[in-house]
Amino acid sequence: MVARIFAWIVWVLLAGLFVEVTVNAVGNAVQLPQMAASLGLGINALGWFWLAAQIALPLVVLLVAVILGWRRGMAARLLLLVAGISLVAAVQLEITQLVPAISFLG
Amino acid sequence: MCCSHARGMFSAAQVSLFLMTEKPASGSGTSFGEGWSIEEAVKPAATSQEGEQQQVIASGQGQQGVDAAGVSAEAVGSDAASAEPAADGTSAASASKPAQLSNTALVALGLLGGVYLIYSWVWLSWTKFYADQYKQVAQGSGTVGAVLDQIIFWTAPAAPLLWFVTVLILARKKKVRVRFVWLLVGLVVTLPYQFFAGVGA
Repeated sequence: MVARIFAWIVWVLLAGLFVEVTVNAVGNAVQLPQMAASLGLGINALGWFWLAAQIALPLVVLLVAVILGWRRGMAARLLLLVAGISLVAAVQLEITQLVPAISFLG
Repeated sequence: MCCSHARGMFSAAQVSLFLMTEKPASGSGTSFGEGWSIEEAVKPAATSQEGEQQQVIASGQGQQGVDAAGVSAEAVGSDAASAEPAADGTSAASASKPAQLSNTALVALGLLGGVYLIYSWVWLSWTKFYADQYKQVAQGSGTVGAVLDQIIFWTAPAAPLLWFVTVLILARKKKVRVRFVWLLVGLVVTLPYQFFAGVGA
């Protein structure tokens, strides 16, 4: 019984990591236009696409992880979440590093 | 998961080398054969790959062997081509245990695992590089959010390996083909693209 509760707590914490990444992305999406406005520039369509993608990605991955783990044991669900968070981190790194921020503006 | 067949996987590669460098000998003097015979592996090694595929179709293992051979033929270079003739010959011997992976699939899995390992290694080196960049740019405010961000940041190199392990564990009861599709998707998704782009913006 205690083990199950503990497992669910860990699950909630891991899901919280997904939420944290999403919140960061939302903050980014709010701050970047402000910074751009202070430079006198706007965010172009490509920029909005990447900002939206950064918000949507953790949520989509979390959804997929929950769906895939729906009728499985707790260990499988936790493994899915950990794999999901590492995937989100990896893709986020790629987006932030490979997409030049300049292309967002204008 | 593949403990009993791991011996078979390495033995297949070893036997193929053995057969290519020596005349086909009797199976008695070697320690390879446990559960499968070298006589059966001698015949496929002598035939071309088309002949080997016809033999696979003719054998009882037909469907799985062809699919696995087709997928692994795409995903794998000529390295495994020499291992395949010997491996497919043994699928006839293992026809009595249809639930286990064919040796071709195992070799392909091993190769895919190796590629995933390379991905993780490349990710690790790039993550260390980015960590150095971040240290210079942001002094590390030390808030909870920044600490969490660092933690998440460092899980990125584990992504390819975790994908591999997750697919193998979760898709255990599904068809071999489904597993390989997921693994190929993972190859594309977890590819460290910065490796090809050089240093980013």
